[in-house]
Order: sequence, then C-alpha cells, then structure tokens
Amino acid sequence: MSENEFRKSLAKDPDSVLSAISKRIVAGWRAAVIEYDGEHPLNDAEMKIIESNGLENDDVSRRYGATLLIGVISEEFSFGIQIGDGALIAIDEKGRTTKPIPDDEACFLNYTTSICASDAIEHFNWFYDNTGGIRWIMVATDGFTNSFQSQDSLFRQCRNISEHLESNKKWKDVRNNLEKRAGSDAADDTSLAAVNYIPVH
Amino acid sequence: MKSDLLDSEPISRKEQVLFYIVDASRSMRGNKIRTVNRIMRETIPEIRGIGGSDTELKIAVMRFSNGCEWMYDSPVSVEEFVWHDIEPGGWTNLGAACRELNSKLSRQEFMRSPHLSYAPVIFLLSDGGPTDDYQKAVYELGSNKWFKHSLKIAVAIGQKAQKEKLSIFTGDPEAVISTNNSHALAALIKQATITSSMINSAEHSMTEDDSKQKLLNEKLHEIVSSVNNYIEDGWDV
Repeated sequence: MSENEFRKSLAKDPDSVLSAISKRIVAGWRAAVIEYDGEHPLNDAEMKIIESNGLENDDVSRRYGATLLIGVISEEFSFGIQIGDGALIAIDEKGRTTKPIPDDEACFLNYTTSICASDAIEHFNWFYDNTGGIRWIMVATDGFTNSFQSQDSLFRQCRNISEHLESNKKWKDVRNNLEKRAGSDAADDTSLAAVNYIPVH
Repeated sequence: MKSDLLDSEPISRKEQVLFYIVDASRSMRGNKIRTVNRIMRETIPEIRGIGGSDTELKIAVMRFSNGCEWMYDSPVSVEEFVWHDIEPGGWTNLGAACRELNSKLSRQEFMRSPHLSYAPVIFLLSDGGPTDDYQKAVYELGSNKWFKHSLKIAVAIGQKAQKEKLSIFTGDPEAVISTNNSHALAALIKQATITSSMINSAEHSMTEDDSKQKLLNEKLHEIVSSVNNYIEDGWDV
C-alpha cells in the first residue's frame, strides 16, 4: 500500500486500519518472541519461575509480556494505539491537553493487559484525529503517570515538558525529572517518549 | 524556560482508600448509631499517620437506609476528614448500598486517582436484617474487580445482629466481627482499621489477595479475643 493509499484508507475507515495495524503488531511480536525463544531457550532457574506460575505448557509467546504505546502525528491526522497501562497524552496547538485513549478498566493496581495475552487483540485501544491540530503526543509508562496526584497535574507536567523542549530542547532536564519521579515508586519503570509536529509555514 | 518548572508538580504518595458503609436504618436508632458516630469521630483522628510518609490514606463513608448517601463527594484524606453524625431512619436497603458501592468502585469514579496503589479496604457496619433484594446486588458487586481484590470486614452492631447475612457481603463468616459492648467495639473498629490498612499496603504480589484476607481474618480473630478479654462490662450496644 502506498503512502497515499494509506492516508485515504485511514481517513475513510480509521477503525479498520488501526485494528489491522494492531493485529499485525501482535502477529509480528509473537513471531519474534518464538524466534528469540528458539535462539535463547530459558535456563533452569528461569524455567522454574515459569513452572511456578503454571505457564510451562502455554505458548512460549506468553512468557514475554509488554505494554505498547504508539503516537503518530502528521499535518493531516494523528493517531495513537495502546495496550496495557501507562498513558498517551495529546497537546493541541492551543495547549489543550487530553488523554484521547481513556484509561482501560482492565488495567488496575498491578494488573495490566499485555501484548502477550492470548486475547491481546481484544485489548488494543486507539484514537484517530483528523483536525490536524495536535502538536505533541507523549507516551508514558505507569511509573510516570502514577507519580502525579491528579490527572490535571499530569497534564500540566506534560505541557511544561513540551514548552521546555520547544524552548531549549534539553532532554537531559526531562530525564533528571523522570529520575526524581522514579524515586517515588522504584518498583515501576518511569519512561516517557514524545513526538512533536512542527507545521511548515 | 527554567528547568525548575519541570519540578513544580509534586510527586504523589501511594494511595489507599478505606470505605465505611454504615447502616442508618431505623433499627440502628438509639445507642447503636450513637455508638457508631462516637467511635468513628474518635477513631479517625487516631488513624492519621498510619500510612506513614509513603502512603496517603483516604476515607469514603456511605450511609444507607431507604437510599444511599456519601458523606463526601469523593474520598477525602484522613488528615482532612471530619465525621458528620449519621441520623438513622428508614429501611435497611443493603442491596441499594451494594449497587451504589459497585458504581463508585471504578476508574471513572472513586478509584480514578492515578497513583492509586492498593485495593480498597471495605467496612460494613450494620445490625443486619436487609429489607431489599440484597443477594442479587451483592452477587453483582462480587464481580467488580476492585471489590474482588479488596479486604472486606463486616462489623456486626448490637447483640441481635444478623451475622450470617453480613457474611454474604464479606464472602467469609470469619470476616464478620462483633463484640460485647461499646468500649470494645471502639477498640475493635480502630484496631481492625489499622490492621487491615497495614496488611493491605504490605508488599504482597497481587496473586496473594486471598492470603491477605486470610491473614486479616486471623488478625481479626485475635483482635476480637483481646478486646473482649480486657473489657467485660456487659452489653450496652
């Protein structure tokens, strides 16, 4: 499919296109895990952990869980895909900040949906926006999002980060802040990625 | 822009919510509701700080009789929580209370805090005797994952409390506790609150929910024995 065909298909039926992308991701992930497992079989200690969780007879692809967050911005459209916890935050040209993929009720406490689940495709969520107004998409793991007292506080921080990066592009400062936040709950990983669309006038 | 701004948003503590579902029906009139009001007024200030510097403890209180009413619109920090005395009257619509609780145990409602780290602890304070279709509502509540993973305690109020009906709420008769007078009841509620909160926030994996409730039940048994042993001034609730 050419880039132009993709744009047309996405604009016409975003749900079908994003669903198809999600299915390809799951299939690709499973194939990669099975290949990796064949090249790097588990050692005895790792196998004992698998057995203690009753997973020894399961498909090997279930052994490698992961959450996945994707953010894409173009001049015409934006979309995001998520499975698992964490959050995708969008900021538009007027600074309006949203979580366009609502929190998944299946993700709570230490439970999360995962790309390794046999029904993973049922747990993919996505958004599509054709206003062309989104300037930033940030994707973050739950260690970052859980370190805020409220969603408003999380949104303010995302705007602070976007303004900071727009003005001086110092990711080092952002990294330092993430390290401080990771200290609040060392059990969770604290990571953030961002994509910024700058219109060409 | 200064990098200081990146540090302007405070880092949250872990959060735990304690729910108290209080029977405010007509059968609770008199000494029962007076005792519950007094105990809760006294207990809440005493449990401040039990989460330590790591955990913020929040409280949500619902009264139920003909209908249901939350004392506050959302869970309130124990540091700021002020108990408002509950006035009794009406039927014991436990089923309606369970449906209301079910609606609030959701990411869109009382469990929406992004830093919520623990399943809730849920107390039911009642003399039993539900007057509505409570079994179906309890069954539906049982499928709520927050409820499923919560620690549940029913405190039977009064000598004639119908414990077996309260055990339908907890799912385990061992988690229904009672005592023989108001002084013991005060000690019971306070110690049960502290113990359940500590067990709930201890480092367990989530696959150990059942063992948490079992551990709590054992501790509750010890607490009931201890408060009944050292206070023997007869029934007065």
